[in-house]
Amino acid sequence: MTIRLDAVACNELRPHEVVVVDWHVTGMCCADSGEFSVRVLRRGKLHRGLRAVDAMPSGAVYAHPTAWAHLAGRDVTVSCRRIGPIRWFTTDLPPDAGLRACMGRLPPS
Amino acid sequence: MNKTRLRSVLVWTVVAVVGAVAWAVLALSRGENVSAVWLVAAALGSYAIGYRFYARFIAKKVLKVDDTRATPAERLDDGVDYQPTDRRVLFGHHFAAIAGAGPLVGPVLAAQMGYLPGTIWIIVGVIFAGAVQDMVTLFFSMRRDGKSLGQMARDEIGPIGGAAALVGVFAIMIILLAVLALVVVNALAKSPWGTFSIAMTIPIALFMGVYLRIFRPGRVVETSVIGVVLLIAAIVAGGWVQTSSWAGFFTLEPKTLVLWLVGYGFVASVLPVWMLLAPRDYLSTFMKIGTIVLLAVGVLVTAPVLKTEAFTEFAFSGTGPVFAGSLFPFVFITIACGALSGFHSLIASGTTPKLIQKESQVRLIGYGAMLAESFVAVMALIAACMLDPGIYFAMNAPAGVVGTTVQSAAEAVSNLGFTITPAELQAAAAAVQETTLVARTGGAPTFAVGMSEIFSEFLGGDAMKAFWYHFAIMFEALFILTTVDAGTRVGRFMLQDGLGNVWKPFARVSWRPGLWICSAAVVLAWGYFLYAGVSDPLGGINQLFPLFGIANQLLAAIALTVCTTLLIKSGRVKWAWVTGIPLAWDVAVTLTASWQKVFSSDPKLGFFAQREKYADALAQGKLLAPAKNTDQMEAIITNSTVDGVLAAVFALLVIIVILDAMRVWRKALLGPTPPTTETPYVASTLPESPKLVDLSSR
Repeated sequence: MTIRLDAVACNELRPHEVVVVDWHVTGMCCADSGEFSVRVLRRGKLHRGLRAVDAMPSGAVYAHPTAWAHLAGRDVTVSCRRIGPIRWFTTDLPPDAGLRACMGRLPPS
Repeated sequence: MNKTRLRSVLVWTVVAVVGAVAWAVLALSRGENVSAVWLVAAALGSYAIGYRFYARFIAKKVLKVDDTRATPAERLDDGVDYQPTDRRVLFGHHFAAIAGAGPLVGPVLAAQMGYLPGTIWIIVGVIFAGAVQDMVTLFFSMRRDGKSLGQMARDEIGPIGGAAALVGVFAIMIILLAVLALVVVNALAKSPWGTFSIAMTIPIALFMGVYLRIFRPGRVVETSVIGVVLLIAAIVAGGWVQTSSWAGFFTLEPKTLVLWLVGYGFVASVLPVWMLLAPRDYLSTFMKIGTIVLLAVGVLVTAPVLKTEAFTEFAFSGTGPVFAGSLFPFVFITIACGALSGFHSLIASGTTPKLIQKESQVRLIGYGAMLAESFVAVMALIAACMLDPGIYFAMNAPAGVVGTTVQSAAEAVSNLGFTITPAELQAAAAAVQETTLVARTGGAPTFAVGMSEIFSEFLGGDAMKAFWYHFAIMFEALFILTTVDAGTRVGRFMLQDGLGNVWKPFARVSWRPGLWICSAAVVLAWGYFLYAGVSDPLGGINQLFPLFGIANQLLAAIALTVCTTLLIKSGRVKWAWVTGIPLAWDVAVTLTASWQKVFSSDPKLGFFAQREKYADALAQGKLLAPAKNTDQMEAIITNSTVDGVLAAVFALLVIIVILDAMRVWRKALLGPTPPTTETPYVASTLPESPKLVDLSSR
């Protein structure tokens, strides 16, 4: 798995920040699924549960273990849009990627 | 015998004796006061024995787990950047994923038959069926790089079994959403306190989403603390709202709540994940684990006495007011989550198998987490059985049986053979600051009353009872609202995926009209059943819950069929009974229940008999109780027809899957050994994990 930051994302990411690919459990009765999200985090705020993953540029991306497991073997591109002072980091994963991964329907990248 | 072995034998002997004594007390007590602590001891003792001996036997002899073999978590990456998840962390993730609202509702409803049938099924069921299903599914999925249940069904049984599994999952999703939403509606109807508190969880979650995304990115703990404080504040504020001029605004009729929930389900399922879903994930995980631990501590500290009999007459007569039908098969249908839940197979395949470190950990994570969920179900059963049976039946029987006033409820409960006075019913409602507890069906209010009794006894006394009641309602509703948006997402996704085979644009996930059309179709589908449930004069939950149970057990049958097929195809024929016996039991239960719901001539039990009775009466111009007009008569006729057809379809799906699987079994047994679908062996380079408890020589 390689997570690549495009030029805009690289430009918007501050030196002390990393991109985190997070995972959110979505409960369904007594079984669950989940969904990915992407956000930035200060390097000093990284908690132990997050793992560094192969990324370009190196060391710029961390992932939740479950997110990692579902993305293993895929190439993902992270981009960024700016609306005024707010930066929106996004990925090229399809909508419902987490659901698709849990149900075995996430197409290969 | 060496020292370690002797110590092990002694420890396990003590555990077995404690468990056996507890079971003996439960089994032999008739008419005496039985402490809930015996139930806890029976459960924990049995779980310990089941985990130590049966789960170990399955892991070592049947599955032949091999820690020298690299798991998908190890193979998926290069082993440099990533360390497969620690088993304790993964246990927590898996448990948090499987322990939802399900185990809190079923046991409460099944308490109408007494405490013993539910207790036996929860404990024995989990040890020999539910935990086995979870563990074996996890193992086989792990050996196939984390394939989902649907994929394994398609690969191992064939396209027909696979398609039936897919239809089954979609159908269960719709019924599940309707049933759980009905639980929320019944808990919140005409309750301004509850409605206000729950309504506040939506802006709180949205605020947390924006806070986490825009104001303080990455401050998860800080955001969660703020969220929990705001939740508590919402509960306290609900008490003020109830006595303020706003009370009228938050006092909603069931049908109005249905419209709100349907609208909420649609919006929540199309909102971006970070806005509502992610912050609610943080909130509900903390609430779930914290509250369940607190409840377990509360039961052990307060040692409540079970006021229900071991078996009520409804276990044998099948005439219970909460749901119709006798002990077999309806206890086993009503209690799914906590004993055997097909839903678990969805999580045991897909996510968890991709994270596991070592193969032997399927025992802790697959089997152990299911035992923990079963314990949650035991807690819910205790909360229901510690209530006075008079209050229990006044709350859980539909309005058609107990009426809507405390006087009518007291009279109806007396006719059932239990004693309760109108004043006692009024006092019980006043204690939790509700206007009434009569006909508050669905299980959630009953569980909340039981939980408030336990909590108030050791945290705050009677003055806090109303707070704890509404805390419990919010705790359950939070789960359920999460289910509503997540379930709608899943249903919408499955519909998009399915329709994409018929008309290509639906398969394009970024095609927004497809997203909206499918979301609307799914919310309308469960919204229909929800609306039918709240407007059904016979009471919605007693009609819909058996359908939900049948659908859930259908999914369990599919999962157990896949597991049995894999055991046979992988050369473990002599151990096929491990999943084969639970499968046979599950099929017997599901088909018997479906048969009775479809073909029983008793109108209280059989949907079509019920339809015929009301249709005949309507043709003769008569009104049958509880219907008060022809519209209600027609509603009963329509609902019973739809429910009957669904019960028949579920039975048909089970039969299709089993027959298709039997074809595969025959081929595997008589023909040459089929090619394995396992990923090839790769040696593990990860070091062995140290033992969690080094108690004995294993």
